[in-house]
Amino acid sequence: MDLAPKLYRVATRVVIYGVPFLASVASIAPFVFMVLISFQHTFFVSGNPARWIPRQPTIETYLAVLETPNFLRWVFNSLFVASTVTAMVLLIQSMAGYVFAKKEFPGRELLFVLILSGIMIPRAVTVIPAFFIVKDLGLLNSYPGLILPPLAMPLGVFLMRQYMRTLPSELLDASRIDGCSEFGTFWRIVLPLSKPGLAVLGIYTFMEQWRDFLWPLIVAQKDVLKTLPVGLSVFHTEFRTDYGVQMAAVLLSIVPFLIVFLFFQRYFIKGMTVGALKG
Amino acid sequence: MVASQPCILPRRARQYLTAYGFLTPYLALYITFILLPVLWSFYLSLCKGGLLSGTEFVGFQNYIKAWNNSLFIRALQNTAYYTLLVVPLAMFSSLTLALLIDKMAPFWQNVVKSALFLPMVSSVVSLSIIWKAIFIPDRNGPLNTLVGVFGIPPQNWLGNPDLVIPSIVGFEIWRGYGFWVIVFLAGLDAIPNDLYEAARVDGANAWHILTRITLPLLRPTFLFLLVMGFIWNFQLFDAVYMLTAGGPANASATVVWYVYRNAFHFENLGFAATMGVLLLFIILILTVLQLKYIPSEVD
Repeated sequence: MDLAPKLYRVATRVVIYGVPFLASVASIAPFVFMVLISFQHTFFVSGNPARWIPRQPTIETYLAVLETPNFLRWVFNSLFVASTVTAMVLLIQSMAGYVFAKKEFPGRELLFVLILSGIMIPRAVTVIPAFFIVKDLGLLNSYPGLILPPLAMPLGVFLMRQYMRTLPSELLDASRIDGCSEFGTFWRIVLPLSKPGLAVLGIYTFMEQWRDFLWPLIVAQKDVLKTLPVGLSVFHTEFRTDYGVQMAAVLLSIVPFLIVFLFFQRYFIKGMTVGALKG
Repeated sequence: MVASQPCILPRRARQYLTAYGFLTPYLALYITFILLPVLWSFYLSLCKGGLLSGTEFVGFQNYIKAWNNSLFIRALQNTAYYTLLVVPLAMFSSLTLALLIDKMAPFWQNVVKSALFLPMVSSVVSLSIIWKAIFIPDRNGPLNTLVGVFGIPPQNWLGNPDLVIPSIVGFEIWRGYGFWVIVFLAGLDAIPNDLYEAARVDGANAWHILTRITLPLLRPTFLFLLVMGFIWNFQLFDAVYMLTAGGPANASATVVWYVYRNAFHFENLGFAATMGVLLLFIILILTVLQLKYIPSEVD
């Protein structure tokens, strides 16, 4: 009599903790594999059965990656492009979002719908003409060529408008009466009050840029201007059979960002669900 | 109310000017890199030619060509196949996981969330390099070793035309379900607790609570993931570029992959633009249909 409910409770707990645990293992396992393989040179040709744990760990694989001509440059490019895009998106798109949230002007509704509908447009449609435009502006193989087009992605305008609508208008009027200029009001009152929204948009933008592939693949053809994903996509074909070197390169490309992620994990999770915010 | 201030311009005109001043930087970017490219794509889709040879107006020829191009039709079918596998599988597995994680102690919730989120931090390129090694067709390949435990013979995961799409689907779900789970968890968080308490007071069992309260109230989340899942997966490119380059024999080619090849490798700009425009319309129609026929309102 007593046993059945107890058994039921134990069984539920096993399911509640067991299934997510297994899913977590599935998420992490490929990364563990990556770390193990990165310390040995020839993985699959070597043994039968395959040797998962390296018998004689080597760091030669890592040295080989670091000796690749532009590897560290790719890391720099990725960080530089992603942070510049993020900073500029935060400024330019929150200015636009602010106007849509708090100002009345002719054409407001029309412009907003036009901008918002940009969210649905596939990259495949804009990428070819954008390539021509960047080329005609003389920006192929340049940092501005990598940085400017992503600034037009409309999600941030929408997000900042939603956030800034909740700011009390009286506060903004008061600052204007106190003699603040329009931009002063925006810079000293609106932006500081929007910090939580800016944090979410900033993290989202940085992640998207850090991982972006198609646009840098097309626009950065010179080796020194490649971002990490583009550089890696070429690099791994040069070490086709040396899985150790490939894994070392992947690990080196993941680790710097992983450390940041572990520190700010909570904000990241919030930032990545930003698309789910409706309004 | 703000008192009117002495000023050269009338107050209202000045306000409009400020508004447009704030908007100008973004509008300039939007026009240059989104609006103009979209219009240009429409025009290009009526042309033939390439990056080097220049373009020539040919009217609707490209659209007829697309209709008769077996590779484009194949890419379209593949894309639909990916989407129809990824979306329901990711939806079901992530919803199940989210419901379970929701019942865990907060500490373990965070541990699991971080683990599931790990793949999201890296680019598809990095992840593909790891998975290319995992998919190695050799008997000793990691995945083949794993399925060998269950008595399944070694498979050529990315080289077998029947297996290549399910393999990439597996990769895409592995890479993305952390995001789906976290979105579902956010949706679950938003359900007010009193509803559950009221139901329990009324003597509802776990199944009733799930089917009468939780699932109906998750409808907006469900609709969001459905719409976005279609939009994202119809644009699948990175994983195909890295894992298979469309092969074997175009068995894994997607529309965006084929657009990229035509534009930047085959010198078929006009045709590439045509397929891009067609993709735009397909996504548009699917999105409108989903928003129209799937109720998002909670009864």
